[in-house]
Amino acid sequence: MQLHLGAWCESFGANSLSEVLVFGHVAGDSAADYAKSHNYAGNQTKLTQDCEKWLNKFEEVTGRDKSVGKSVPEIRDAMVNTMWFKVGVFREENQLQQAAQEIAALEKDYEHCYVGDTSHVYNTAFEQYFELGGLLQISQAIIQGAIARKESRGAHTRRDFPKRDDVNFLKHTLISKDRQTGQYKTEYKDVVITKFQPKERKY
Amino acid sequence: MDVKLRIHRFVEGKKWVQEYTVGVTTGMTVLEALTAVKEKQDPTLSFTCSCRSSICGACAVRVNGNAELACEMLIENLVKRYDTDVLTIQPLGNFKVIRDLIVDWDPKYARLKKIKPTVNPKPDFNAEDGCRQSPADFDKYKLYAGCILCGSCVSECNKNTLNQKDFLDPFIFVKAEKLVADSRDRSPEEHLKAVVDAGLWRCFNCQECTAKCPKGLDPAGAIEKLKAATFRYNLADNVGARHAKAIYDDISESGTLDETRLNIKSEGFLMAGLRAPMALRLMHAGKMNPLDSHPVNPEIDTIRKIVKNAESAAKEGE
Amino acid sequence: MTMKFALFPGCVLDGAAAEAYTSLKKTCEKLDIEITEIPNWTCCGASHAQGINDLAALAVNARNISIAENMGLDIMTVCNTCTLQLRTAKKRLDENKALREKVNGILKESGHPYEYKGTSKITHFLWVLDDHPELLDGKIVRPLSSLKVAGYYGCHILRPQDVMNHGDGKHPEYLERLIRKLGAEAVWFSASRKCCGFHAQLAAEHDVLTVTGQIVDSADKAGANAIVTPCPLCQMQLDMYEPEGRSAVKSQAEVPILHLQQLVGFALGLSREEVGFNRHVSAQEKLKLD
Repeated sequence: MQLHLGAWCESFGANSLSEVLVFGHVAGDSAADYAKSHNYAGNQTKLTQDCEKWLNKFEEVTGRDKSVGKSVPEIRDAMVNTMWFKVGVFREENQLQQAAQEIAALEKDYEHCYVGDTSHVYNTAFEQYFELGGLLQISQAIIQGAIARKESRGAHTRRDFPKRDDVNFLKHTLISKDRQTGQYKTEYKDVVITKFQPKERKY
Repeated sequence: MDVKLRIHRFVEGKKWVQEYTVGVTTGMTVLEALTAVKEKQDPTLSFTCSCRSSICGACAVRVNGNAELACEMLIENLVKRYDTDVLTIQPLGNFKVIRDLIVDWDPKYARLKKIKPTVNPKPDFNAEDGCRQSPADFDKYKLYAGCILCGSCVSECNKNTLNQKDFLDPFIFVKAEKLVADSRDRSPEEHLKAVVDAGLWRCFNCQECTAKCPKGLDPAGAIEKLKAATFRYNLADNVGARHAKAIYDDISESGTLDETRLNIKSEGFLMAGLRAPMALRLMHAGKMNPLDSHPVNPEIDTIRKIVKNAESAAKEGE
Repeated sequence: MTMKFALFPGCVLDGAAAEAYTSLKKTCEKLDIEITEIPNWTCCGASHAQGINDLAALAVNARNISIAENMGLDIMTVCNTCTLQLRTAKKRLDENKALREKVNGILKESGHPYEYKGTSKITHFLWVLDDHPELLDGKIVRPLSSLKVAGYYGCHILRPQDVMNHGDGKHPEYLERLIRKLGAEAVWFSASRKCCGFHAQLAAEHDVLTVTGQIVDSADKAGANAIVTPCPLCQMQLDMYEPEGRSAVKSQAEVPILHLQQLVGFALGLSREEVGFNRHVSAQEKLKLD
C-alpha cells in the first residue's frame, strides 16, 4: 500500500507523468530513427522461431477451457487480498511468510489459468493475463525484500523490528527469479554514499 | 435488483448485440457492471478504462443513446432516468470502432492537429526572464485545461453525426479557444483561421456537447467565444458569420429580427435571389410580405446605447 | 386564481410564426392565463448575437428581464431559443455579482430606467402546463383521439441541463405527458432528439435539409400523423422546409407540424382558422381532426 501510494503521489501530473511523456517521446523517436538506419544484427532464424514460440504460447493460453483452472480475475483478487492484509504498511514475519506461500501458490495457479479470449484484436483479457504475471512476480519480490529487511526504514515498517538498523541493513536488497527453477533469490548491494550522510530522521 | 445490459459487440468484423444480466449492488457504476460481466460472465467483452475516478477519460461509452463516463455514472441513476431495467450500451458515437466499446482516437488526433494545438510562445519569453502570466489571464482559459479527452462531447454532436468532413469535434474547438485565449500565444489568428476553415460556423448550437461534458467545460460556449474572436481578428467573411452579424445588427437597427432582409444580409443579393422559390412559398402561406415595413422599437435610442456601451466595456476587458 | 405572466414573444412570433402568437393568445384565454407582452422587448440574440459580442447580448437581455421585473411578473416564453438565452442571462447575472453590477452600470449609463434585480423567474409555456396540469381540467372539449402525435422537443428546451432544468434533458417525458392528457396518442420516433439545424441553415444547408427530412420521415415511419413542437424555430424548419427535407432523404412523408399552442388549442375546441393553421406550408390536408 505504501509503495503504491508513493508512486501515485509522484505521478500526479508533476514528476513521472511529465517524464514519461517527454522522455518516452524522445526515446521512441530515437529508437525509430536507429531502427530505420540499421539492419537487424541478430539471428533472423532465432527471431522468427521466438516469434512463433510466443504466438503458440498466445494460442495455448487463450485457447484454454474454463475447466482448466482459476480465472485471471480470481487469481488477481486473491493476490490483492494477500498483499492488502499481509504485506501492508505494518509488516511482521509470520504474515510475510504466509504471504510468500500464498503468492507462490497463485504463481502455480497462474501457469494453468483461464483467460477466455482468443481474438488477435485488442484482446484486453490477454492484456490482463499478461499484466497479472508481472504483478505476481513483483508481489513476491516485495515480500522477499520485506522478509529480508529485518528493520524498519522509511515506508517499510516491521512491527517485529521497529527500529532502523544501519549496522546490518544499510544496503540495497536485490530480488531475482531463476527462469528455469522459478526460485526467488535475495542478494544485497552496498549503498553508494556521496553528498548526503544517512542519519536518523527526526521530525 | 437485476439489470439487463444489451451491449453492442464488434469483434474482427462481426457485429452483434449481446445481453447480459447483472445483479446491481449499491453504488454500482456502469464500469463496475461492465467489469462484472467481463470477470464473471464473458472475458471477451472489451472496453477501456484506467483511473476509475473520472480523470483519465478512458471509459466513456454510450448508454441508451447518451454518452456517459462509465466510472462515474451509477446504474441505479440510469434505471431511474430511463424508467427501465434494460440498458443499451454502445461505443461512443461518431468514432470508428476498433472492438466492442473501444474506439479509435488516432483519426481524432489527426483532426486536432488541424488547429495547430500548441502554444506558440511570444518572443518576449526567454530562459532568463521566464514567462509570466497573471492569474486574471490564466482564468481566461484555465477551465479548458481540464479537458480529459474522453470524447463524450463528440458522441451526440448533431453536426458530426450528419457529416464529420467539414467540421471538427467539440473538444478540438475547446482546445482552440484555450489557445486563442492564452495570453502567452503570439498568433491566435493562426488557430482561429484553422477553425474557421475547418467549419466553426457550421455548429448547430444544439448544446449536446455541453450537456455531455463530464468536466463542465461548455464546448458550445467555447465555440461561441471562438466566433466572437473571429470578428476581433477580421476573420469573419463567411455566410455563418454574416448571418450572426445581421441578427446582432438588427438589435441596434430596429430591436428585432428583420426576417425579410436577413437572407440578403447573410448571403448577398445573388444567393438570396436563388431562394426565390422558398420566398414565394412563404408569401403564399402568408408568412412573409416583403412590402411590410419593419417596425422600429420606440426605445431604440436606449437600446443602441446599451449595445455601444457594452461593446466598449467588453473591449476594455480584453 | 388567474395565472399572470409577462410574455416574451420573440421575433418570429411577430413575423413568420405569427400563427404561434394568435393560437397562444386564444389558448391562454381559454386556460385563464393572463399574458401581458413585455413592452418594447428586443430580440434575445437568438444564440447568434451571443457569438458576436457576449456582453452586449447579455446587457440587452438584462434590459428585457428588468422590464418584466418592473411589471412585477414572471416571464413566460414560447420559443426554446428565447428561453435558453433569457434563462442563461438570468443565471449568469444571479450568480456573478461583479458581472451583474457591470451590466447594470451599462444599463444605467445608457438611460435605461430599471436595473436587473433577479426577481422575475423565466419559464416556458410547456413547463407551465406541465407544472399545472389542473389548468386543462374540464376544458378539453375535443379530445384528440384521432391524432398520433410525435413530440419534438427541440434542443434548447432540454440543454444545457444546469440552465434548462425542467425534467431530465436526456430522457424528457413532459411533452408526451401533455399529448396524452389532450387525448392523443404519443408516438416515440428514433429521430426525436436530433437537432433540426435551424441555426445552421445557411452555414450547413445540406446537412440541415438532410436532418429535416430524417426527423419528419422517422416520425412518419413510427406511425405519427402529426408532429408537435414547443419551439417556433423548429416548427418553421420542419414545416417550411418539409419538401426540401423529403428530397434530401428521398422520403414521401407528409406530416403536419404543429405549434404546441395549436395542439392545445385544438383540444380546447379552437378551429383550424382560429389557430392560424392556414399559414402552414406543409401537409395541411393531412391533419386528422375529428
